[in-house]
Parts: sequence; structure tokens; C-alpha cells
Amino acid sequence: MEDREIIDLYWMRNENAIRETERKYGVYCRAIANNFLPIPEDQEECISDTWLRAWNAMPPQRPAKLKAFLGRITRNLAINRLRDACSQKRGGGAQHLPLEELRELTGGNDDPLDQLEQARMSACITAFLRLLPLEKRKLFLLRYWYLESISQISDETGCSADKVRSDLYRTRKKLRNYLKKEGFPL
Amino acid sequence: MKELQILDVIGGVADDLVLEAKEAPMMNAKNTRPLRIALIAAVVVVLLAGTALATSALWTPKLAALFGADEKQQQELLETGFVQNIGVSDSDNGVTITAEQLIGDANGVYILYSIRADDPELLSAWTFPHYELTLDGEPRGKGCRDWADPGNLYDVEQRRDVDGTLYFYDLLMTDPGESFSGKQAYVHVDYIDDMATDEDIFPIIWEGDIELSWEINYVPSEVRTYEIHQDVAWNDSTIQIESASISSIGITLTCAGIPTETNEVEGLGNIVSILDDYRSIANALSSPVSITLSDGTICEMERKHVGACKRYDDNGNVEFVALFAGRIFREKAYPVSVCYEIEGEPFTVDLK
Repeated sequence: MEDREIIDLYWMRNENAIRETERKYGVYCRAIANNFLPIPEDQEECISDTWLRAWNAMPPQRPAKLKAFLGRITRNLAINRLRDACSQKRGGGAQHLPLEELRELTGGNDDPLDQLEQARMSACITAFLRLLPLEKRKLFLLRYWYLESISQISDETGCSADKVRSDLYRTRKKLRNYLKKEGFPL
Repeated sequence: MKELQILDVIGGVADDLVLEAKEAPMMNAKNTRPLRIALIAAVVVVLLAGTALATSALWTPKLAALFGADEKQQQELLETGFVQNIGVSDSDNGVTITAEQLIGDANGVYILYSIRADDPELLSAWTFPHYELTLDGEPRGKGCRDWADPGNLYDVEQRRDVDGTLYFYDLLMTDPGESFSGKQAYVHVDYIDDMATDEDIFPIIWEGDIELSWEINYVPSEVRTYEIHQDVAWNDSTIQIESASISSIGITLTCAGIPTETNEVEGLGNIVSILDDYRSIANALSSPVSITLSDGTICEMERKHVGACKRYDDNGNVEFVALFAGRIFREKAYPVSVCYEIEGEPFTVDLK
């Protein structure tokens, strides 16, 4: 079924919308949830919440790219779950995430970015990624947007793990320099 | 927690890029650069034709010195097919990489590369290209830092600075029963690291895109394999030599009991410590001191001219490959024993 038709189902409040969404994008969203959340129950709850969030969002929204829209919802819900787990200091935390790799992009300042700065940084990262060759951009996003493991990326792209690791390292360095030039206190 | 905020930030990347990361095919050089490949193939045809006309062309004096082969030996190596000239080059932004020659036998084939830079200062003492090597579309070598992988050379002594040109080797291994005849080798080099300093780990001194492609028309010689099962003391441990495989111009020792720790590190320090620890044994076991032939002749080996290389097999054993580039041992006079030396202590491997 075309995305437009699925979105129409949401707008008609037809519950088949969720069935069709699950059929078309269930695997995609589950892969994202699996990468973020180590506990299977959390992953399933995250997916259920994704469909509910989509149901509540459409209408009024009519996303231009339904796949990205759903993936982003899954990802945000998964991060919120991790945040809860970390704040409650219970299992299923963020130990498996590549946060250490990203530390050089968070800077020494412990204050969180306000919403405006966060949005500006996202825009800068988008601009930076557009400057990169497709291969390097793809590796960066598979690792840090989809949170895939190095071996997953290696299998998916056909690059050696060493190449993936070293390319990511260099891209992070370049991004750090780019963000510094854009005025972020790193 | 603040650490998770960076994930929120990256989550704000534009939708089209997020989808592209999953959906766009990787820029696999073989699949996505047909025009360039076609051009390279055309160049290869021309170069191969040139090579065919010049089969008697000898190595440059510098190259001959590198391998310790005199003129007669070079001629013989060319005539018997143990050495083949390739001569495929590509340049980018002042750096030229050339696949110079194939040297080898059925134990494996060394590919000799050279790097030249318009600015010789660019190529410092610890310079490594990052390349991906494929044979008939199958990845075979993955760059110098991936030294635990099969088919990869990692020995800094092999890199000799000759008139501002760096030469280095990679080892292509066959699967059992295979030969290299008619196969397509393909190399993609995308950057060169300078590992001379750890101030900025692996700074990139050249970033570009060089692709080399050529046909390997190579017929391997016979290889004889002997079960050895001999223990050799090394530091506080023991190396077990499991087997020796020998041909007219090379020998491969398969060993167990070698420390195989290869930490995943980005810091130069750890890499150097692993390398230093390993290099002495790699050099010793891939550099025979002398070889005794079946007719009783003792051949002293010029160790500096032997190509030291190691690789891991599927069982975690390590294989040390020696290439006697300047010599050919005739079948009737195959070696019966090979003498090695580890930290001044000689030991002999008998081939029976």
C-alpha cells in the first residue's frame, strides 16, 4: 500500500492504518528499537507506543516521508525509555550505546543545550553531513542515528570493520572542528 | 542525562539523509564506477600489451636491490613467471600509487606497490595507505591496520624508502586448490595516514581516491607440505611449528602458541607495543638464516631480502611466509632443512 493511502486511513480513523503500518514499516521500526533497547519487552512496548503515537499524530499531521516519520518516533521513544532507565538507575540503561565515541561532540560543559541550541546543532550536523561523500555520511548515520554496531554496519555496507571504525573516527573529528567553527563550545 | 542529548541532536538530522543512509547503495567501487573501471580496464589492456612486449624488462636497480636479486635471477624469475610486471598507476592530488609487480608462487602472491608523492616530505617514515583489496570481487586485504586479518602484511621493515618512493607489499593467498590465473585484482586507496606522531592520532596526510585494477595471469608452482610438530622456545612461551609448506621460491611456517592478542585501539601506543612484541618473532620465523638442499648445498639467505609476512588461519594459527625473491630452488634440489634464529638462538626445521 502506498504511504499516501496509509496516511488516508489514519485520517479516516480506520484501524487498518496500524495494521498496514506494521506490515510495511514494522521491520524498520523494530530494527531501530532493537538497536537502542537491549530488553525485548522494552522493544515491543516501544513499537506499540510508536503505533499509538502515530495514531494520535495523524491527523492533524500528514508526514511527507512516513518511513522517516515513524522511524523518528521510534527513536525518540527509545531514547526517552533509556533516559528513564538511567534516571531510575535500573537495568537496561545506556551502557551499550556509543556515547563514549560521541563524547567529543558534547563538550566539557555539563549544562544541557537548550531547545534552540539543540535545533541549531541538528541543523549544523545536517549541513555538515551534506558536505560529506555519501559513503561517509551513510556510515555516520548508520552508527549514530540508527545506532547499529560496527559489525552490523560492516555487513550491511561491505566495508571492513577497520574501515568503518577509522572512517567514523575521522568524521567525528571533522564534525567536531566544524561545530567549533560554528560557535559551539566543544 | 546530558550524554543522551547528543543522540537527540543527531536525531534532528534531516529526513532525507536518514532514509538515504538505509536505502542508498554503498558506493561500492566495483558496482558504482563502471565508467572509471572501464577506463582503467582499457589502460590495463594497453599496459599488459606493453608488458607482453617487454617481458624481458628487468627490475629497476632500486627494486633489484630491494629484493637482492641479480640480473640473472631477475631474468629467471620473469621467465618462469614467478615475477610478473603490472605497472598500473593512478594519481590524485600529487600522490601516485602504482601496482608494480606480482612476485610469488602457490604459497601466495605478493603484490608490490609503490607510493610516490610530488612532495617527498609527505611520505614520512611511518606512512600507511588505507586500501581495500579485492580479487574477483571478494575482499582480500583491508588496509594495514587490520593486521589480524588473513592476506595482510604488517611488518614495517618491509617498507623501504627508495629515492622518495615507498614500496610495500600485500600478500594474496589462494584458497586450497585454487590458482590466481586470470583473476581480477582491484585496489582502492582512499587515504594515507601518518603514524609518526600520536599528538593527533593517525592524521590524514593524503585523502583522495585511487583505483587500480588488473588481471592476474599467474600459474602457481607445486607446493610441498610437511608435518613438523616441533616446539621452539620464545621468551617465556613456546611456539609450536605445525607444518612447513615449501615451493621453488617460498616457505610458509604454520605455527600455534603465538600470542595473538590484537586489541582494538585507536591510540598509537598500544599498536606500537603489540607490533614491537610481535615483530621480532615475525621477522625471525619468516626470515630463514640458511637452507640446506637435498644435494647437501647450504644456501645462506640474505635475511634482509626475504619478504616477511604473517597471516592467521581459521583456527587461530599463525602462518609466517618467507619469499626468497632472488632465488629459485629447483625441484631436484628442494630444501631438506631450514635454519632459523630467534634472539640469537638457532634452530632447524627438518623437512622430511
